Amino acid sequence: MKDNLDDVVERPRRYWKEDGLAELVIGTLFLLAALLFYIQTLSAAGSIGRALIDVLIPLLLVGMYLGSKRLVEMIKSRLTYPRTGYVAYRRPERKHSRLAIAVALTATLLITGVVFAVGPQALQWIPLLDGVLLGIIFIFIGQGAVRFSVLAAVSLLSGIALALQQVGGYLGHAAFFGLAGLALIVSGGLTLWSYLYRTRDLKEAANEQ
Amino acid sequence: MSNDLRNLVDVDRVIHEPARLMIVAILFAVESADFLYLQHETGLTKGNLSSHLARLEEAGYVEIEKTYRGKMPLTICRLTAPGREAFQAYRAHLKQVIDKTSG
Repeated sequence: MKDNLDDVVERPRRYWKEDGLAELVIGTLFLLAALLFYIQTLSAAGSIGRALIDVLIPLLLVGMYLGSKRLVEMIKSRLTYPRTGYVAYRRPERKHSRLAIAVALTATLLITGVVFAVGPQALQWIPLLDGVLLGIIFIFIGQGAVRFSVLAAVSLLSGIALALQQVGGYLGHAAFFGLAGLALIVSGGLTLWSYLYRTRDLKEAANEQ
Repeated sequence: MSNDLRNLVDVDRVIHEPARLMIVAILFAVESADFLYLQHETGLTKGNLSSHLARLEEAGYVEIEKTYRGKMPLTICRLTAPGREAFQAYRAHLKQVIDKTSG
């Protein structure tokens, strides 16, 4: 009874991921980031283009964080909520938000520290750090879901492969975010297809009311 | 009746009913949920779910808000503060009983 009750409490928390929309949106934004990183590799150092993209990339990352949830909500209100209902989630406790910020800052400082300590040759290992960090994030948000374990493995393996191939710097970022973005889109797409297939009768029933 | 047995039967009967327990457990995890979500998750019929929600509302554990999203009518349900406390107390009580009877 205790285990079943815990599972009932946990299910609404997994509902956000049930339709794969968050993965599709984040995957698309990752591909956009990959494109910007790739354009960086083509632009000359000190050029206006590079300076512009240097500004665009952090803005994109901030925009991803702030805008992706709203975009997902907007799509869910048209696709998911009419089929399987609406849920409003509780705001995370302050200690969780502080922990998330602390982890993000630590990761940033760690990467910066490694680059400064080891020198330019450390840049080839950036994809590996990206892979490890993203893998940890996938495991954390996945809450045991198999597909997030697969995404974590893909992230880690991509990071390792790119680091061993000495694909570092902007090109390494571009390749890593490109691979991670593709993996997210495939995962999200399959999940969405499965969700729409499972709930096709529910949508028809809701339309008939 | 011994104290242990009395403890076993002395549960919150409003929450203890299986369907209402599911409803309260679901609402405990979220800020609010609409009627369609609760129906989908619990597998209850509309009438059955309405009846249990009414009972929970009567006990002061759930508040129900009828609103609109655009032109679509929406019934939003959320646990009240007493409802959250009651569910936590129920879980703690159940855990105590299980621990005592696990030998």
